[in-house]
Amino acid sequence: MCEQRERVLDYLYNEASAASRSELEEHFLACDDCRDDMRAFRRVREDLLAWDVPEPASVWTPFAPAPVVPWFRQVPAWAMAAAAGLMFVVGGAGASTALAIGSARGAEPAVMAAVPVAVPAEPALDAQAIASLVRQELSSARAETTARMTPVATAVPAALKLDAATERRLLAQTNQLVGASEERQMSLVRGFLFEVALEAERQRRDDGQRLGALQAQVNQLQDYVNQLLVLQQTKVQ
Amino acid sequence: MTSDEELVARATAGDQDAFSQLVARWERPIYALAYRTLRREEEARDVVQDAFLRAYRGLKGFKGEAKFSSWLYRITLNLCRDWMRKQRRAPVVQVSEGTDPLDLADQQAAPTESVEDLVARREMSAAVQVAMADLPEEQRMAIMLKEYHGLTFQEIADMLDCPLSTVKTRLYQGLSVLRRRLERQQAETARLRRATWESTT
Ligand SMILES: [Zn+2]
Repeated sequence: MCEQRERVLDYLYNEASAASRSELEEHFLACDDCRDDMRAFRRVREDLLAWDVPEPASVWTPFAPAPVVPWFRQVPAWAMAAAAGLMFVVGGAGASTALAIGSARGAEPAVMAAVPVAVPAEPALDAQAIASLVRQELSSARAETTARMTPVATAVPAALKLDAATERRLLAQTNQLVGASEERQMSLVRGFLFEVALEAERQRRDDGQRLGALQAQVNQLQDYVNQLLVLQQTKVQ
Repeated sequence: MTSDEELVARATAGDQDAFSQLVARWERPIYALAYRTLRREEEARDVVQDAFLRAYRGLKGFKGEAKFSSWLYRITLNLCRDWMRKQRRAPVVQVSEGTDPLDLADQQAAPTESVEDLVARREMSAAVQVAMADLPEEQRMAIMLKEYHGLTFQEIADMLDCPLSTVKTRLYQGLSVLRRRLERQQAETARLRRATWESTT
């Protein structure tokens, strides 16, 4: 059993410094145990998301309740944009991937540690195939987000006539959906990035030829993950 | 958005509305923590109510050396532990198994979620709850604070009064156990599905 196995957690939960991240990535290339843990723990983390919590009635009654802001005013602008289906613009033949966000206000500098993209080499898996995998992954993420957000968009006008309790319930539900959807997408994309990077590194070692397109793909994906992270930071509590 | 620290300062000075805002902000996470720990809605609500009352009364003693949320989490965990000690047993997993379509329709996360997806989600949720319930309490706590509350290793260490390395060990062991249980559970579900399918065809 690998002596460094617990360090997988630093990587898994994004608590490793940039230096130790690249060290770990080196290690993953060589260590089957850690690579296996990494993949399995990612799946466990996704499974854990399934355990949700029933909506509680508010427990705080000692004071008069704070005025209720209608839920649709608490939904951040970007979520509305997402609801309107503006979340992703995925390019076609050129495999260009872009992300249009309604309003990522207060966008902070990218927070995700750099994903090592080894300059990849003559691939067993060619650039086209990788690009197509990336496109599939993104478009299914997009479909999922759109599917989940559309009801929110259609609920907005109706909500204008709702009572306060229903508004609160809807707000909570919306936030939960947004959270779950983001988290899942991030987890998917992160997992995929990890696989791509590993694959690329393996290929580089096999052969010294370059594969610039893959680098670009991964950079774009990384931007995408960063933007998701920014979105998550700006999400209302 | 007003920071927790600012709201705490105002609440300490007697501003009740500031405290209500803190409640509105932290009620859900605190409830989620209590609910997942006790796995009972009633008791979780009681714990949350009690936690906020204690926090309110203890505001003057809260010097801000920790984050307000950490302090609140800690109060909540202690209350949960007290409750479990009183019961002298770990809480029982209560997973409702009803698959009545009308009942299910109420629980769809979104109108677009298919009944099949919902059933799968509920199966997974039940599997997760059972697997989590079997973990030793300290591993379960570490996983809960990490996975559902996004605390850092250091924050968890502070909250559970143990070294950072212990937190990582508990997390690693907990994840490894969950992995084995969930993989076995998924294999079992698949086997049952196949058996059901074969017996009906
Ligand atoms: Zn290793």
